[in-house]
Amino acid sequence: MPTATYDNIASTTLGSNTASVTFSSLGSFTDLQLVIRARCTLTDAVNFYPNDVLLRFNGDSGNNYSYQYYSAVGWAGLVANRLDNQSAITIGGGAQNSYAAQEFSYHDIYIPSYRNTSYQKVNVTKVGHAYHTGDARRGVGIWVGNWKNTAAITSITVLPSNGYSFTTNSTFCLYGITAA
Amino acid sequence: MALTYDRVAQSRVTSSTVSSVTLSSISGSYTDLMLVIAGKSAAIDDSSAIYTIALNSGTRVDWRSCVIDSTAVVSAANWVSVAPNTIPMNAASGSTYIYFSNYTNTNMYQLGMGLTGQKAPFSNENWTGMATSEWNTTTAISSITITAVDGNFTYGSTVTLYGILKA
Repeated sequence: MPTATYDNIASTTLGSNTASVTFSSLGSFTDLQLVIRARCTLTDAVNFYPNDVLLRFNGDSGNNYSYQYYSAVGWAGLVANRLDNQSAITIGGGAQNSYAAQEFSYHDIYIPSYRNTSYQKVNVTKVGHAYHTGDARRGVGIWVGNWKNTAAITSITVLPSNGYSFTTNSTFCLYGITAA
Repeated sequence: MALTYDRVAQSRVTSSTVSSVTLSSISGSYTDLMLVIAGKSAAIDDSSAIYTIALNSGTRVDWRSCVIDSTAVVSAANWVSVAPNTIPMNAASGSTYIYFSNYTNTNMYQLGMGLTGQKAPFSNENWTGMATSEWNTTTAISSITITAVDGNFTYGSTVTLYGILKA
């Protein structure tokens, strides 16, 4: 008999602006997938730059993360970079409050073998947004992060950079994936 | 037990005069949708071998995209579809998948994340790309129309829609 592949561990739609979202009951699956549609409280009606969205594991806010990315953004073309010793993993630019009210960025994060204690944890994120009235602010890319810790991941925290919050109606859906 | 991937609809082109394919009556009972396009356009110019995707009988100008491809071209032009602009060429075959997350959420614009690639007769025409597109609608997706902008689909091209249930 086939086994259900995806289980919805938890989902939330924000009813008010919220500084961070934490998932702390992750179950016993093989992998995790976190799907986010985000909008941040940053208001920048001059440059319209997006606001980065960050990821942390097990409440660790030390400089124990690295990440790298390649991304296409309307204002800068193709960009790529590698950063080490960071206090969080960036999972791409989030929509911000100067965009159209229905504009939410998309972040699809895959975390394989999150309970494996033999190696450090890695996640892969596909990111995109297509700000409607400003062509130059669109973006798409792949972001890969590393947490320099072999501990099993027991909690995941998502937050906007620079102290901003997520806005009402941002959604966060965490799925457990069973590879039977 | 519910299946994670459910084939909602499939259309296989059986003539050389089909310029668009519509998948309609899409149920709102899934979590996400995945559209898979395998085939060719009959366009003879690679720059015009474009698919466009319209949702809920909308028009092709209802969306915006950003595309990155293997030639390091970045485009934010309005006309770029999630199946970027050289897929598939007349003498090549290509495939594209486009993922619609939370397609019944009416608080935000519909957004699709697409990956695409083609194998062409000449290596400099091989191609891969990634795109995100957004449609100017907050209505749940109930139909999807895929159009070969300049030319018809070739015989045997197939469009398949999967409903993905994450229960």
